[in-house]
Amino acid sequence: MSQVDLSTRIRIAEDVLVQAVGGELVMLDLNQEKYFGLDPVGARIWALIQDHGSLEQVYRAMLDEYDVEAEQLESDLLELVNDLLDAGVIETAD
Amino acid sequence: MARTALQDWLAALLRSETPGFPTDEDPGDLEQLVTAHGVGSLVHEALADNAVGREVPGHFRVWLKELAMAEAAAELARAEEIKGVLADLRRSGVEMLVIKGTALAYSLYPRPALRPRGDTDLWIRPADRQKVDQVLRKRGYETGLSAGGETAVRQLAYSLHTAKGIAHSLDVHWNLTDSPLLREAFSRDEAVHAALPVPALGEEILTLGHAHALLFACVHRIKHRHSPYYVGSKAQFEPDRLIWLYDLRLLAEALDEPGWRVVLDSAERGRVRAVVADGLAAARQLVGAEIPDWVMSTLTAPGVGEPSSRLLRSGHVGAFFADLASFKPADRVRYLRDVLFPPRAYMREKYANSRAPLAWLYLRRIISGVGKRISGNL
Repeated sequence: MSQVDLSTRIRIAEDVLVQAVGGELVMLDLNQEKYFGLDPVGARIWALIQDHGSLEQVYRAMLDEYDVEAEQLESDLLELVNDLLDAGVIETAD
Repeated sequence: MARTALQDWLAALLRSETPGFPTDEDPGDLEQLVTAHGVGSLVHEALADNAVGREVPGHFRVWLKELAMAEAAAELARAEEIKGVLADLRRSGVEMLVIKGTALAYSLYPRPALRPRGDTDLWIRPADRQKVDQVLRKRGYETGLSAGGETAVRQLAYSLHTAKGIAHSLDVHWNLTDSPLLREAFSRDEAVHAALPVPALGEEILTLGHAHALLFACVHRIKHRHSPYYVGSKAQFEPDRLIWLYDLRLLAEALDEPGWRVVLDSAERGRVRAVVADGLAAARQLVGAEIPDWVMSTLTAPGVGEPSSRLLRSGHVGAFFADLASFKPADRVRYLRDVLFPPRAYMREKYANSRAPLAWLYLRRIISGVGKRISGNL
C-alpha cells in the first residue's frame, strides 16, 4: 500500500475519465480497462483533489463541510487516497 | 415479450408516477426486463427521486446501481472514439447525419449514458460509401460481408476492437431503412435541410431535426416488429421497447407547433400516418409522452390507404409480402433474389463449418429464416 500524509500533493492520473451518476462518480481508467465508483463523499473528495491537489486543503475543506471528528476525517481521507493510488487513478505529485 | 405487471411498473416509473412495487413478481425477471427494454440508467435515476424506491428489493437496487455505473463507464470509453470517427469523416468530405440512439443521447438526454445503445448509426449519401469505407478502414474498422444485394440491404456494419479491449460498432446506412415500405417516409434531402447540429459530438456534426427524428423513431420501431434486434444474443421483436418510446417522449417535448406540422406533412407524403400514430399512441400510453390531441386526431383521420399500415397488422410473413408488393413487378424478382440468395462469399462465411453444396446451404438458410419468422409471430 502507498503511504501518504496530509502534506502529500495529488493529481489525477492521465487517461482517467470521470462521469457523475446521480451524486456518485464513475471513473474509467482507459489503461487498465477498469472502472471504479465513488460514493457522494468520495465524489466530493475527488472534486476537491481536482481543485486543489493538496491533501491539506482537501482535508480543511471537508472539515468545514461535514460534521466529522478531525481525527476520523484524516484517517478516512488517507485511506481513500491510498485506495485510489493503489488503483492507479491518482498519482502523487512533486 | 408480453406485457407484465413488472413492465407496467417500469413504464409508470418512467411516467414519474409512484407505482407500488409488484411484490408477487420474480425480481429476477425485473433485471431481464430492464435489460431488454434498455432503461436501466433511467430507472436508476427515477428510483433515486421516488418514494417507491424504498419498496424495491435491495439486491435489485444494487444491481441497478452497478448497471448505471457500467453504462456510464461504457459511455466514457466510447465517446472519444465516436468523436474521432465523426471528425475524420467530416474532414474527408463525407456528408452524414448521425441518427438514432447516439444522436438522441447527445442531443436530448441529460447525460448520454442514460440512452444505452450497441452502436452508432450514420446516414450517408450512397455516393459516399467508398469514402466512408476508406476512412473507417484507416482507423482499423472491419466489416462483415453483406447478407443481401442492393435492393434488400441498405446498410453495412463496421466494428473495431481496440488494443485496450473496447469494442466500437458503427452502422452505416445509405437509406433510411431496409424496409421498402418505410424507406420513403422522408427523403435525405428533406432531412439534411432540417438537420440540427450536435455540438457535443463535434464541430459541424449534424443529426435529424426533431420532427424527422420523431418520424424515424416511429418507422424504426415498426421495422423491428418484423426484423429482430438483439439484446445480448437474444433476438427480440418488441415494438414497445421502453427506451424507444422514451425517445419519442423526449422528441415530442422538443417539438413546437410548426414542428408538429412538419411531422404531419411528412407522414402524409410518406404514407406512414398510421405507423406514426401507432408510435405516438404507445409513447403517450406507456411513458407519458405529451402528444397534442389535434396531432393524434389528424393522424388518425380517415384517409387514403397506406401500404405501410399492413406492417402494423400483419405477421412477419405478411410483412415480407407487403414489402415485396411495394416493388414494381420487374424489381420483385430482384428483391426476392437479393433477400433469399445472398452473395456466395457471405454464405461460405456464415456456414464456414459446412462442406455441403451451396444450393443446399441456400435452402437451409431459407427454411431457417421462414422458421424464425413463423415462430416469432404470424
